[in-house]
Amino acid sequence: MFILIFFLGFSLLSLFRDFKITEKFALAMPIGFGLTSFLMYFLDRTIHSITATGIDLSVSLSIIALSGIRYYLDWKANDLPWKRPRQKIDLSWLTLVWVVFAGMTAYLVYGISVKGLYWPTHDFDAILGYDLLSKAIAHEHTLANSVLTSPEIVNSCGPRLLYPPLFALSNSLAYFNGLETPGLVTTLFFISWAFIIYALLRRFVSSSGAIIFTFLTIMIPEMFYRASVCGTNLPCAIYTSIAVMSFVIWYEQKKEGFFYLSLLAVIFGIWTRSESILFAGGIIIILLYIAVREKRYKYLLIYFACIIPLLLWNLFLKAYVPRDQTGIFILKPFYDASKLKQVLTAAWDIMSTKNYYGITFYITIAGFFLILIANIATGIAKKENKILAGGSVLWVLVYFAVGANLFSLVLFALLVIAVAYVNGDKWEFMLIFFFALAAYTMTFYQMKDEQGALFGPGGWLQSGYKRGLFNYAPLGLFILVTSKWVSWAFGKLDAQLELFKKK
Amino acid sequence: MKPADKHKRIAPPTQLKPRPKAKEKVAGSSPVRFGAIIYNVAGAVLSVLFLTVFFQHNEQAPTSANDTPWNYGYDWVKNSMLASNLKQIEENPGKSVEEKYLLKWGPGEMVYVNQIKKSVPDTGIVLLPPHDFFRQVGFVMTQNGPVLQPVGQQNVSKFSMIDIPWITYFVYPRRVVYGDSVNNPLYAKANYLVSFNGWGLDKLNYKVEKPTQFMVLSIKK
Repeated sequence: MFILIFFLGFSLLSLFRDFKITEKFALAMPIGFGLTSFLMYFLDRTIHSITATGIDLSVSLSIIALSGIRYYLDWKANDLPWKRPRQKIDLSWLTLVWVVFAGMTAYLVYGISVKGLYWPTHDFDAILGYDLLSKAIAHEHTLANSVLTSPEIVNSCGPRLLYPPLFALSNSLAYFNGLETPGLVTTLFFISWAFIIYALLRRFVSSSGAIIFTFLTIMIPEMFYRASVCGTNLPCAIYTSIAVMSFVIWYEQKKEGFFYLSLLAVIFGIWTRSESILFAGGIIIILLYIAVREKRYKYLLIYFACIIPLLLWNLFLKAYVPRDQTGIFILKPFYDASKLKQVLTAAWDIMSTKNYYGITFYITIAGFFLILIANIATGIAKKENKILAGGSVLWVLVYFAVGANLFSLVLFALLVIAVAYVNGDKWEFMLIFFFALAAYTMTFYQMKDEQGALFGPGGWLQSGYKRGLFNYAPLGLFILVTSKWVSWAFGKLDAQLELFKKK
Repeated sequence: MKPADKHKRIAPPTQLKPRPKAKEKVAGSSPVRFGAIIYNVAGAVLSVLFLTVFFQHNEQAPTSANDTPWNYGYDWVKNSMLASNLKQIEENPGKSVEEKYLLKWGPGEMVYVNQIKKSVPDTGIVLLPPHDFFRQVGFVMTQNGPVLQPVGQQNVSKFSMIDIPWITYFVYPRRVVYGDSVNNPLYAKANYLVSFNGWGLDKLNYKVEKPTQFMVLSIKK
C-alpha cells in the first residue's frame, strides 16, 4: 500500500512538466499521503466505509487516471518519454564537501529512523489524540467512530484529538496493513523531508550550499528528536515548508507547476494542522499584490481553495463530534502591555533555547542582517536604499531605547521586507515568514491564562508554541541560504570545487 | 529588477530553442580537474572539522541557560539521545510491543494493561473502578511514564488508567467504562470487570475463591 501511495504522489506530480525527476521522487511520499487522506475522507463520506481494499482500489484507480492524463498530454504533444533525448549523467554537483555532509545526514536520518521504527507510540499527544483516532479508523472503518463520537473521550482528549485528519488517516494506513505501531508513517515523512529540503534548495543554491543547509535543517534538535515520535508537527512543517518554498520558486522562476504544488502543500498542511492557514494568509497577501498591480486575479482566486479542508473538517466536527464549547481564546481585541511582553519574551526564550532549536534562529537573524546590510551597502547609490539606510539607523536607535518590543520588531520586519523588495532579494519570502510568525505568536497573546495554562510549565507556550515553531525554523534557515548573497558565495565556492565540468 | 517584472509572460523554452534529437547528448561531465581535487580535499577536511566541533560532546550538563554551550542541542541529539537509543535497540532485538513498553516505562501500570488485554476479548466492555478509587490506590502517571505513584507526590499528571483516552488507547478495540459513570450506556453492557483491592467483587454473579490484589474477571459466568 505504501508503494502505491508513493506512486500516487509521483503520478500527480508528473502532471506538471516543471518538476525534475529528483524533485518528484523527494515529494512523492508526502504528496501521496495527503492525496490518500482525501481519498479516505471521500470514501468515508460517500460509502461510509474505509477499508484496506477500498483504499488500494481508489489509490490504484487514481494512479491509472493521473498516468493516463500524463500519457495523453505527452501523446498529443508528440513528446512521449521514450522519444525524448537521453540525458548524460551530470556529476558537476559532486564535491567532497557534499560527500561529507550527505554522509553525515544519511547516518543521522538512518539512526532516527531505526529509533522511530523500534519504539511504539509513547507520546501523550498521540496516545490521547491522533493515534487513538487512527486505531479506531482502522478498526471501525469510519471517521465518525466510537472514539470521535464519545463525549467522555472527546472532552478528555482536548484539541489534540480534533486536529484535521491527515495524520490520523495516514497513521491508520499502518494499522490497515497489520502493523502494530504507526512509526513507519513518521519515518517515511522524515526520510522524504531530507530529500525535499535538498531538492528545493537546489533551485536556488549550488550543491554544497544545499547539502550543508539540508544537514542544518535535519539537525534542528527538537525536530530531529520528534522525527522518531508520533506527532503532527513534523508533517505539518514539511507541508508548510513545501508550500512556501514552492511559492517562492513560482514567484522567482515563473514555474507554473510550483504554484499548484504550493497550493496542494498548503491544503495538506491545513489538513494536518489548522495553524498552517497562517502561511496561506501570507501567500494570499502576495497574490493580492500581484492581482492589484498586474491585474491578474487567477492565482489569487485559485489559492482561496486552500480553505476547503478547513471548512470540510469543521463541518464534520460540527455534525458528528460532541464537544464542550469552552474556548481557550479571548475573542475580543485587547491591549495588555505586560502580557505582550511576557509572550514575546517567552517566545524568544524558546527560540534561543539551545536544546530545542540549537543555533537555528541565530542563523535566521544573521540572515536578516546580511540581507539588510549587504543590499543597502551595495545599492547605496539608489535613492530608496539611502532612505532605508536612514530607517535602519532609526531602528538601531529605537532598539537601544526600548529593546525588543512589538514596535521595534515590526519596524525591523518592515525594513527587511522593504530592503528585499527594493533590491530584488525574495521580499515575498520575508513577508510570508514575518506575517505567519507574527500572527502565530499573537495567537498565544489572545489565549486565556487560566491556572497557568499559557505561561505555566507544560502550558501552551512551553509545549504548543515550541513545536509550532517547526514550521518556521526550516524557513529561517532557507531565508539565509537562498538570499542572493549566500547563494552567490556558494556558487563561487562550488565553481572552485567542481570536479566534473558540465559540458 | 522590480518584482513585477518577473511575471511578464515569456515564451516557453520549447519555442526559444529547437528540441534536441533523440539520443543526442544534451549534458555531461568532463573528467576530474586536478586543481579542484586540492580544493576538495581541503573542503572535506574543513567539513570534518566543522562536524567534529558541531557535535563535540559536553561532559558536564549545563546548570543554567547562560552556561549552556552553543552546540548543546546537537550534542544531545546525536551523542546522548540517538546513541543511547541505538545501543538499547541493539541490546534488545525481537521484543514485542508490550515488552517495548515495559522497557520504556518500566513494569508499572502497563503490567495491568497487558493483563486486561489478555483476559478480555476484542469485543469486550470492561468496567473499571470509579475515578476516586483509582486516586486512592495511587494510579497517577509521572512525566516519565505510567508507574504507580503515591497520590500527592510532586510532578504527577492526571494521565493514566484514570484517564479514559489513555486506557482506551491501550486496550482498544475493547471498550471501557468507569464504576462511577452509571449514566454511560456502556455501563449496563459491561461484561468484564477490573477488580482492585477487592473492589467490584459484589458485582459478580459468582464467588471468587481466592481473590488477589488485581484481577480481570468476567461479570457473569
